[in-house]
Amino acid sequence: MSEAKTELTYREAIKAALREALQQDPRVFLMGEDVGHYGGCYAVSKGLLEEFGPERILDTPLSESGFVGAGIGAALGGMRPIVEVMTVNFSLLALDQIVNNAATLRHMSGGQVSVPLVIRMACGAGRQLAAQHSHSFEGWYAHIPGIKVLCPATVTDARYMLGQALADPDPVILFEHVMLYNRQESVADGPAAPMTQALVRRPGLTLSLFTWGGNLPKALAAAERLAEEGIEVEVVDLRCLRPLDKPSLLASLAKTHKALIVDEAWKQGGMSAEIAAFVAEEGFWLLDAPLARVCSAEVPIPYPAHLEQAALPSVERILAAARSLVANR
Amino acid sequence: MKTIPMPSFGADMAEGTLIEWQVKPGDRLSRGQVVAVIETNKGAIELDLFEEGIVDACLLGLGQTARVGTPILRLRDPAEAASATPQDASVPVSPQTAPAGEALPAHAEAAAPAPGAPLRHAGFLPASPAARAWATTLGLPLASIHGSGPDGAILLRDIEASQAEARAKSAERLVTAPASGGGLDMAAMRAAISATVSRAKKEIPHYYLSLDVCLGAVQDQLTAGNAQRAVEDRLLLAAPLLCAIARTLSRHPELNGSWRDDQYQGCQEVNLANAISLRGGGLLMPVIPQAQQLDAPGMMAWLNRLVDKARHGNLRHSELNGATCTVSNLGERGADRLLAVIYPPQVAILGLGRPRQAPWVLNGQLTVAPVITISLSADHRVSDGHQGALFLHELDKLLQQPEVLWTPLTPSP
Repeated sequence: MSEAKTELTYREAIKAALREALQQDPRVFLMGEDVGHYGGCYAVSKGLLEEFGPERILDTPLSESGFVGAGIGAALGGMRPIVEVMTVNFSLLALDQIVNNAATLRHMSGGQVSVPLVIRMACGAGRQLAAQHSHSFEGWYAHIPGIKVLCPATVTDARYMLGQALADPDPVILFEHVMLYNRQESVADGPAAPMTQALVRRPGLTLSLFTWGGNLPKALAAAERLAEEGIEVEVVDLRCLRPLDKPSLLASLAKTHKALIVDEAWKQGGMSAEIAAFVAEEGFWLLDAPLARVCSAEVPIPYPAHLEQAALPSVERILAAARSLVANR
Repeated sequence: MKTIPMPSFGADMAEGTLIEWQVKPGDRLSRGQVVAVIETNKGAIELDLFEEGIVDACLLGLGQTARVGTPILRLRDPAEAASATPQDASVPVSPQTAPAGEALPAHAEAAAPAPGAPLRHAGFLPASPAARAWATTLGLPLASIHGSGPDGAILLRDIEASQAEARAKSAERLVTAPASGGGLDMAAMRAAISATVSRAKKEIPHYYLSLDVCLGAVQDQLTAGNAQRAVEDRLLLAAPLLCAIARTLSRHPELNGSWRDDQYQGCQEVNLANAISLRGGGLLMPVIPQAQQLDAPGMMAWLNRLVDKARHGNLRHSELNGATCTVSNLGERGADRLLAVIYPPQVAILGLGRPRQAPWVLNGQLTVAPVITISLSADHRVSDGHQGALFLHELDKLLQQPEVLWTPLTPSP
């Protein structure tokens, strides 16, 4: 198993990133619910308490507003906190701290203070965690100026985006899709690109598929099958939802003239709507077909496995959308 | 309120480009007035209208191209003129033609379209944004492109197809017509002729009959008539020939009319098209209306006028339309016999060979006489060879008594 050295799971890649950050910078510490003794809800931080001690791996009370606020205070005080929020739906309890404080303080202080805070949170559906634990709210956070929103979709991005986020002087939120933790891939020796840059994961000339995070594997699987039909899909991984890498999106559109957006959130008011609006505003003259979106059904994510799968974007739904976009009749 | 569409100047015309408006909103039209000059593959043609009304709006900009049938001009009734200017939602309101205060309620009313009616401006061509942008970059009028998308929308692939076609045509132009058109797009005209004759040969079951006709009597009559005329007023042989053909055709509605939608409509009056070859190559077919009423000098006057206009590109819409039959005349330098291709939707065409001196049997005696071979190409769906032969013999008989061709006919009631 000599190749295993270069292959990691998404979970292991994040842990490696955490260890690297903790080792390299004494100002870095991790806090959140169950990150210490329990090893993290998704076992990302397992073993870190033993390695780095209770001063740097902090179990917090069940109070998102409290410990996210504490993280903001620590960042203001010169530390480099990494705050883990167990899942994105719990982060709604910390919205006041994130939106009213973390995102605003640089601006409200006239640039006197910055909040170099990194918040990690699990997101997405697919594990039968029902309507209260399956949200895709990364698009909501991407609405807020003052924070950056990263969605690592590959193991390499999971390995290196945390370090890039810590190097940023402003608050950065990392969304880790729960269906990605067990994915195993080979890892590059360094970051693939700056964290705010979109990357073409598969080049193609027929249509552009814009997606991020947990939908990337589905998009690539669909692209593979569409290629057999002669439909060459260019899969663009947005990676960062704010700031949005608009030039990369337009560059892809200039090749294909057709756009399909795959977003696990709902259509209305979602990130897919923002991308569609941007394309219509700034890429209108590049379009040769109406925009298309594959998103979740407009229902709370169901608990039963078959209903949950029916509600989410699937390879089949992506195939159907791509085919109808290309047929153009 | 009515709209005038881009007219067709012949079955081979698909689109036209506006060169000049000779009217402006507010102008009152008189019958036969030239309203616009339109560039086609046959050159610039004046569009004359026989409508009455007041120009409400010009819907096509200078240099813009529109497909045949696309509205280009909107007229309103003189009766309507006094009341404000009701706008239909299909056309952008220009501030010059409608006071804002009055346009608004009219718009509100028009804003509720009939259920299922397409929400589209009258002159709007559906096209994807990318197709529009690319066509603009190429300087390609959208109206010249066939749309293959939803509701006929023009997509990038259609522009690519049209470009490929244009490249093929320009390659053909290099081979066939080296810079000789003088203003006319010879390649386009060639393509148009090609489309028309291909259609004719595919759809029309032609049959062909020829008859040698002695021109001795006609020549004598011409010589006698011309002796009394100034040089510039002298008649050419074509005048009595066309005159005789028109008069004979008026008694043969099975050869004179139009075939549309699988139905034939024969005509008593003969609107005779005369194929004129242009110096750069190509053909124009201006029409002599009511040709059966003309005498030979009258026919000559028409011929002079039409040939002159055709060669100068000044033909009007009405002068190219409505032909019921066509004559193609190769003239002095032509071949002995011309078997022509019928011009749809007509059902017959006459080919005049080269008038020549030939052995001729007259009263049992072999002599030399001026002879012409007149050929009839006719549509077998409408007439049979027997009727065609009757026509040719009647024509021959008339040409042997040519003095009647110098006498105008009064229109029959």
